[in-house]
Amino acid sequence: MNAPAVYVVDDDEAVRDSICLLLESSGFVAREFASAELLLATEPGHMGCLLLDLHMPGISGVELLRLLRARGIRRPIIVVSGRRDHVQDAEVWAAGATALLSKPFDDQQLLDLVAQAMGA
Amino acid sequence: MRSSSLQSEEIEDRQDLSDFGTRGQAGLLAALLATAVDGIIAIDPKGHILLYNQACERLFGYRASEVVGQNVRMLMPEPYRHELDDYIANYSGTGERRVIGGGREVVGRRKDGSTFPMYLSVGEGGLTGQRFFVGIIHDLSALRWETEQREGADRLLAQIVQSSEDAIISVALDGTITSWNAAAERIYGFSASDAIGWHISMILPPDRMGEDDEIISRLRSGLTMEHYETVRRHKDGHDVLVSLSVAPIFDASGVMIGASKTARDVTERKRSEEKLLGMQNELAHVGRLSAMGQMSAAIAHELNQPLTAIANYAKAAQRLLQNENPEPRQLQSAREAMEKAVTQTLRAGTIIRYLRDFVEKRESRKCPEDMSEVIREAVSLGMVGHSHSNIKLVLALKPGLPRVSIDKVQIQQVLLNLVRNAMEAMAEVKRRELTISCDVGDEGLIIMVQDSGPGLAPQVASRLFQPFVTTKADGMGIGLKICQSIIEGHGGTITARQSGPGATFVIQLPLG
Repeated sequence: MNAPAVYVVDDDEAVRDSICLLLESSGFVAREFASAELLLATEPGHMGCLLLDLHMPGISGVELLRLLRARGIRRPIIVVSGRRDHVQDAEVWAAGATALLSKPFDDQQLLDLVAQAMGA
Repeated sequence: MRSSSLQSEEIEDRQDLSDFGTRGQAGLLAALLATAVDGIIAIDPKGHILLYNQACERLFGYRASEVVGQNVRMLMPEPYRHELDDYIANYSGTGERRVIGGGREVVGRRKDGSTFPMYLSVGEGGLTGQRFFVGIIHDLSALRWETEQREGADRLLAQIVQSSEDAIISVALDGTITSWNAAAERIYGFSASDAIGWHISMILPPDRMGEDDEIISRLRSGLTMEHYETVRRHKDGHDVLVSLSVAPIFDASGVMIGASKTARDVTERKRSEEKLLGMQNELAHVGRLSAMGQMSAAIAHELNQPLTAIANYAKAAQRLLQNENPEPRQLQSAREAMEKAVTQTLRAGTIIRYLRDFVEKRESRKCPEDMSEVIREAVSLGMVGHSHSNIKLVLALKPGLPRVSIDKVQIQQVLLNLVRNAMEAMAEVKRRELTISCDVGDEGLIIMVQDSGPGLAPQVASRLFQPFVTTKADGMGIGLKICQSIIEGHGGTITARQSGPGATFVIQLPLG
């Protein structure tokens, strides 16, 4: 049962829970984290890919992204954001995001991205 | 014996001045002159002073030794001095007497040059062939002064009444107008001559005809009226809104004979009050809209969360049900997903309702509210969009807070405003701590919003609650003014003070 999982980091419980259910309904294994700190406290060995919310209290999405890349983690990281602007997008890409999605998103688009990421 | 002694007493009683003898008469005269309160003076036909009593010394300030033998002119100012000369010349020439035997008001001149009014009576006499005139001088200064004072006071009162901004009128008990000042002319349109002698009903609107009788009977029962707002009718027919004060008028024996009425025209004040109120409402609305502009981005983000979750849950349920024969576990999962989706639509609805309440311009509606809940909701709304700002939020709400009758939306608006101000204040500081506390004290409910920002600039602190005062680059400076209006509308107060590094806003609300 050590199949790679999709790690989901979002401080909003409903968003996090619904994303996990969507992933599970398509056959993925999902693992949820309510904050960046909780993720960092976990051994990321089974992380197939990461779905990351940008706006969180404490360590923000962009900061987590930078930290993980700095630690040499190469797995795909898909960033989800409720508010988009050019400056922030540029920052996210520069921090090493694999993909960037706006909330609310098309489920198929998300699942395609995750499938692609897990296959990578 | 007894009867004879009585007789001798009667005889003694009948003594007259002639019994005093020449020396006795001279002594009596001297005593009379010395005792007289009025000045007594005698002159010869050329005007030389022959006699000058003690009262004269007091009146004129000259000693007798200074004036006896001098011309009486020295005691008279112009033009009386010349009149005297003419009079003496006239008298000596024709024997015509103009003053003699009578008296008249003239003016005396004191040693120091000052003058005083006096009543002078003059008589004429002769002694061993020499003619002389006697003058009795009654000082009128005190009387004149009293009269002037009284007239002055009357004049002053009349001037005060005339110059008053307020209509001041008096009426007799039967409602007849007895006086009418200039302001009454202006406020009611009738001139004093048009009004005095007429009935007060001339300025009463038809639906208030009985009011004057009521006022009089109130006064009779010892009640006065102050600042009673009522309506009067102007000569040209329009209504005048007045603030009326009424007091009884008594005659010298203490019997009430009428009433004085002071009326201030408050039409203009009322109009500007209404205008001001309208402007305040308008301003509050503008303030809300402007605050809403700043908040709409944050709200949009907040709405995005439930919408995202709803879409995900619905899509997940759809996928779980795609199988021809879904497993019971999948069916259960789909059902749960749909339920969660519904919960999220309610969450979205709540956010939208908040937004609408926030923008809506409406009358104050007070209901007993759970203050703990009111504060929690307001603070969480205030934190919208700041959940990633690293702010340590401390809610110190006393357990079991009483329900307080407030307009929930308005009070939450105030709290929201204070919370968002606090957030902005802390944007540039390292340690960000927001403490919201609520307690019950002697003065009622005390809510404190304390931040760890840079605090209040001295030049702003004193004017904090004035409109259009702000330190924010994009602020209009009306937020706190609106907060103050709302809190005062609840009978409470809002104050601000420096607290450690930051600022503390203290709201006091009555519990009643």
